[in-house]
Amino acid sequence: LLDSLLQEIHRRKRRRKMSFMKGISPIRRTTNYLNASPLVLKRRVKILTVNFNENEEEEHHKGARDFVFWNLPQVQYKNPNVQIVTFRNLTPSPFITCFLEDNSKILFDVDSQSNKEIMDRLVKTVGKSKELLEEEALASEAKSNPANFCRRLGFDRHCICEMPGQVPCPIMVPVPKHWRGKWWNQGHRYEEE
Amino acid sequence: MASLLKNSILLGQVIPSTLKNAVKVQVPYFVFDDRLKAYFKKTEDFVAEDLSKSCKTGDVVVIHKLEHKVKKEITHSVFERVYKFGDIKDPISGKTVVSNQYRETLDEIDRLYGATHKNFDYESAPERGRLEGTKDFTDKPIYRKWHEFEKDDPYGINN
Repeated sequence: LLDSLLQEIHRRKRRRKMSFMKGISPIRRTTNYLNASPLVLKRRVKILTVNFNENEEEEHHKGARDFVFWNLPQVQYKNPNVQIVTFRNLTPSPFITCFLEDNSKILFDVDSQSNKEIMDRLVKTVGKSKELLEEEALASEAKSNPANFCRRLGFDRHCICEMPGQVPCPIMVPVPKHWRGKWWNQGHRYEEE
Repeated sequence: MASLLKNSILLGQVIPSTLKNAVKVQVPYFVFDDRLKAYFKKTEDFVAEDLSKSCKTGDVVVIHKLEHKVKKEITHSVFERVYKFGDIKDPISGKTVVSNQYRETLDEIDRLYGATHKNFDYESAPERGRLEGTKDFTDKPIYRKWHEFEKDDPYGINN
């Protein structure tokens, strides 16, 4: 995804200025990028802690550093209710800790792992699976769409008949026979009047 | 305020306070600026009861939200001390660590260079906190003092 977004920007650069995208790697500050993370933490995870060292010479921390630079904003965007804390230059080896609701900890030793590996590992262990995410996306779509009907399920309108300009409800005024699918399909359209 | 702060567990660092039976914990969290599309760090202080009375300033602790508050101000209780200030243990190896080196390695280096006696013997030394009030003034918040009283308070710093 990162590559495709960078390509897009490169193409756009010739046409118009990308204003306000200041700072180091401002692509991290686009909604598209922030939404692109596959990591949505399971509900049990409440705190995520990343321990790493900032010294460039410590190559085994590079993956953790990249994770914090590129992926941590994405993770926080997708999980606004998880407390994310970073600890710099505390220990010789980098690691990630997840604190769960039931007072237990999950420790990930990320020594010499690239940020992609770290991300995949987190998704596999503490992330919601793709299918679950798709289900949730569908469920939330149905809830938020105001065009849906059914008062019983929480939407505003019970039927389109209550909107002015629409055909009145068949309870009150019967619909002309030739509009009914039943009449049409039962062959009455071929009958001689 | 972030809805994150209403979580049942939070992680924070103990800050200096004058409370006797409780501990002030500073919890950092990130707030999203919608226009800049970036996260900015903010901190929130909580007063947590410390049942084991072992937490000192600078320790990183996990605090749990109390269901029934005995006192209005004490909203949380310290559950676990993640890192002890000054004596951080690397959770992967379990060894005491100083920034990016193990204490063992540092001692080994000293020994190889031919140190006759170690700088400071951590094993035989008493627990930290011995000099609180006499030489160590990080346990309570310090302030600027503008008048000299008869009894000099060491936590007040001269202008």
